[in-house]
Amino acid sequence: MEISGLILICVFFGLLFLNVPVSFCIGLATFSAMLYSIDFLPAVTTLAQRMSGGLDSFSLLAIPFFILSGLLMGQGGVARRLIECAMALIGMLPGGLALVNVLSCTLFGSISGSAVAATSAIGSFMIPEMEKKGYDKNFSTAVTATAATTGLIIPPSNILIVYAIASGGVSVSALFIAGYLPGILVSLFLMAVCSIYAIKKGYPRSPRLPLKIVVKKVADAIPALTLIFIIIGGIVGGIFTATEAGAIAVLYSLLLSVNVYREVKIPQLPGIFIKAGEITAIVMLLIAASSAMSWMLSYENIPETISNALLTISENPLIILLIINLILIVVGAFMDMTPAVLIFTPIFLPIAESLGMSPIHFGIMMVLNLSIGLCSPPVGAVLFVGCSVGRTTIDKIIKPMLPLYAVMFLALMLVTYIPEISEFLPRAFGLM
Amino acid sequence: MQFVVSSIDKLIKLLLALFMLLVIVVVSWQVFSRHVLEDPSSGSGEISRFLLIWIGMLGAAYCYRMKSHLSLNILTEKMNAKPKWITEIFIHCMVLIFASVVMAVGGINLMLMTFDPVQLSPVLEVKMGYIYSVVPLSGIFMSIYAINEIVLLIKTGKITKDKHDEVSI
Repeated sequence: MEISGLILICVFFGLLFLNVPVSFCIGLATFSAMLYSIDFLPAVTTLAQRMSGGLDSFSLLAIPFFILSGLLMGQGGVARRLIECAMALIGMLPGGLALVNVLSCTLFGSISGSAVAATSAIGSFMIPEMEKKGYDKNFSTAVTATAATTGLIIPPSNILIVYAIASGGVSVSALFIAGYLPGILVSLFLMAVCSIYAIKKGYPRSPRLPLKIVVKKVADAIPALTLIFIIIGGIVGGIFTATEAGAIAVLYSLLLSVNVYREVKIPQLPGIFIKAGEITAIVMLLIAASSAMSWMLSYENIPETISNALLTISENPLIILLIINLILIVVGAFMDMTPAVLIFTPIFLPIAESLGMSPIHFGIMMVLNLSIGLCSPPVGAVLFVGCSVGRTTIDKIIKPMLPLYAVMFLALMLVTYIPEISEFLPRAFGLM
Repeated sequence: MQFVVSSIDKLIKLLLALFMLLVIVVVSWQVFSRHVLEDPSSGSGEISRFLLIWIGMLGAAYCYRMKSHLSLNILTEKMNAKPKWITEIFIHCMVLIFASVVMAVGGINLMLMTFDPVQLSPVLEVKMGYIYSVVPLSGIFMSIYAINEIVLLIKTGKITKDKHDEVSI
């Protein structure tokens, strides 16, 4: 590695730990490294060009759309309907309330596209409800936080779009379809832990509801769930691209939230649009800065250097994948998901590909891995929100978290070493 | 100063809401024209991509103003008031350097380069310089916001407001 590579890494971490926003850390690190090898004016011009060029992509446009439809659908009424639907379907099983919590977090996380929104919307209702029925508050909070992350991998998923950009053009549609089975797998694993825990503690079951009420509750939630089917049906059927699916999702959720569920009033819309623009821009500036940095990284052959270093540790693909996973878990514990995907995809994807892994499989593995970091200390956005809605503290929920981390890690290992879990569906639908 | 800052706030909010609305209309029109009119619109892909660049860049300045960009505060949150105040000034100086040097100077130079020889977008034949002009524009807005923050910090001698509500995807 050249000196400019070292400058890049030192400036980045130095600024990062001084609380400078991540996108500016990336931009300034790239800028200082460039100044070492290129003149001032060409350096700043190239940076400005890479930044605006990094945003010039039709695939990226899906991000503001899914953020907007998530905000529109993210109002209280949708969360309540999903919880009632889940309650009617699986509330009577052992650990019923915990299972309802997992299922509603998964569904809401997927529809709203935000694990943080899922934690606060579902958690603020389900955690007190579980406490009332005798569940331990810390366990309920832990369940909410972990389950909320499954929605990130079940489409529509903004992080998979970010990955598609970072990987240099993997099909967003294929990634979306690939996310289903791994997401459902994690969700089922979490439910299994909940059931075992509830049986061991002897928590009461909820009564079975009459069929008529079950049908009514499910019918109530169907308009919200339809959003998922519109997106997936449209993409699988080849009717529209992921980005166009996003625009349709916005129209559908506008119709639903303004006219059907009546959760949003027309005068609120400009505010929601601005909020969506703001959240979009957080991601966009990260992408803009990272596309300048990934250019610099490959200019300095940094991915190759790291890959060679990894290959000196072991030649065994199984071990290398394990090492990559362990590094990503540490990264995820400190860094938010979007910057982590943007920074580490250009470094690790070439290594994974040289081991014969498909970029779709790698993307799913990476997002699943970083989901663990979102609900682990010291820096886990979902964990913090979970603790605040559950009115508890991080040190108290670590113990009930342990079995949940364990099954998430187990799911991660299965997804890492069994490519079919991610690749079966996209293959079956002819998307890869 | 406050007048300038709040005018920029209003302008960015207005443009963000307008561009978000436009981009939804344009892409929906693209789907509609292809499936219903069976006459695919030609320029909609380009317009929507350009709108995204504008939303991303203007929004980036707005996020900085709202303090919603992601950052890592595990070291600084344990600091005492004085070092925290110094770090805060340092952060805004870093943003000021990036916004004024890279985004404003680099962006203006990028614009000038694409005006001569002129670079046109493939379908709509818009001068790319106009599209890229949002990079220096956002850089200038960000610089004004940064100077405002630094002046406030020095004038009051303490950190006035904390991070706004959590934004995360």
